[in-house]
Amino acid sequence: MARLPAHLSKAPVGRERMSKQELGALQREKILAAAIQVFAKRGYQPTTVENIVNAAGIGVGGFYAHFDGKDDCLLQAYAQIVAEARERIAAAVPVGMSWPQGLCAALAVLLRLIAAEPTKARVALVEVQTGGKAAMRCFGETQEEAIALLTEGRTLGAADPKPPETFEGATVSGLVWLLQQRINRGELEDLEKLHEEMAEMILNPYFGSKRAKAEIETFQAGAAFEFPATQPSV
Amino acid sequence: MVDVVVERGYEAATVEEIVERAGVTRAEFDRRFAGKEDCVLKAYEAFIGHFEYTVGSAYDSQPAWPANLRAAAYACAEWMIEHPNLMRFGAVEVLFAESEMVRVRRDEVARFCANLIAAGREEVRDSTAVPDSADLMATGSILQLLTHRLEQGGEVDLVAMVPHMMYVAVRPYLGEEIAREELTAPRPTPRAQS
Repeated sequence: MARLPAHLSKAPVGRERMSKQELGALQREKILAAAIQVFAKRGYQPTTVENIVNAAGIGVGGFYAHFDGKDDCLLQAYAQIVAEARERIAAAVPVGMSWPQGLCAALAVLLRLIAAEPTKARVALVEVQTGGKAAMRCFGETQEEAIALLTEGRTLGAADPKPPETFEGATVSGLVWLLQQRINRGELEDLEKLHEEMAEMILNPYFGSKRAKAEIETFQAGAAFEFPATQPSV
Repeated sequence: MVDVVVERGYEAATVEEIVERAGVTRAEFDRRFAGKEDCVLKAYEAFIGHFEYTVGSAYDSQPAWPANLRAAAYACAEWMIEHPNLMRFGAVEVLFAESEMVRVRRDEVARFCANLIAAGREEVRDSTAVPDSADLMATGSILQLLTHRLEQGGEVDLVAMVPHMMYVAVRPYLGEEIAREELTAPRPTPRAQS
């Protein structure tokens, strides 16, 4: 009897026994996914570790193998969500794109992500603020990152005189607040308009209103500008 | 109550500590409040009333926008300097409360401030040119900035922040030139101490 070709005689990859590390990583992912759901649904403060392990369908021991506690779990969930968003944004802004166009593209990706993943958005933009000092510090660091990105616009912008040096901090804070309010009220339908307003409020002080408007129109005419169709509210 | 919550943090503060500091008996506390959460909410209500009255009166003391907004902004900064614990409590500690209600109230106070800014719309010839979210955005800048600086234990020179915040608030309505005037606009004479 002919032997099976070598590549078929191997056990299928999926059936191979997973290593301990792989199993651990898988369990960690499972817990994080469950925690994000629970934090968003119940709010961070009222959530207990018990709520999380129940939702994840694992034991308490499994939870503490990966996390020091509820607050650590929030920090890790936050880091994961932010890393994912950062990756998506980087992918949407090709090298060599002009700064104003890159800003419009990044903003569009961010808004689309928020609409597509409202649960994660809620954890990373709203619940993180209720997570205490360490969570607040991480949230602050992400905002610092955004402030640094905006500050580049200051050096490129043609407007003279430049806006006051507190402008970027104020803008990022304002955007965060705006998004928090929208998420809290579940108002995420008119993203196209929100995108336009946000882009305008950022670009205007750097480039003047005429140039800002033109940049936004150019972006809207391009291929990168497609927001998901408005979903009928249930 | 506020002192205890601010010193110990919302989560760590206990009813026993609050009662001891206030010099009342536990029975007295229980008669008045359903628990720590309830006590926090009622205290918060009282401070919000005082804050909104103070800022609102300053706003009404000037006839036109943005001068009235400027007066309100300085009154807001002065109130916060006079009541550092209340500010910390209202802006930051309530975030860590269990009940959703206090956070809803925090948002509503922000909305009260946003309305003062949104009055700028009436000063604009073409109000369609002003983004709908300009008022929320300006309020958010202030509240978020404050929350973060406070939570990180940083010093905040509130009075020095006012002209910058006025720039942010006025710009979408009246444009760059007039907004820039806010950066050098004199501080109105501080209101008489109440």
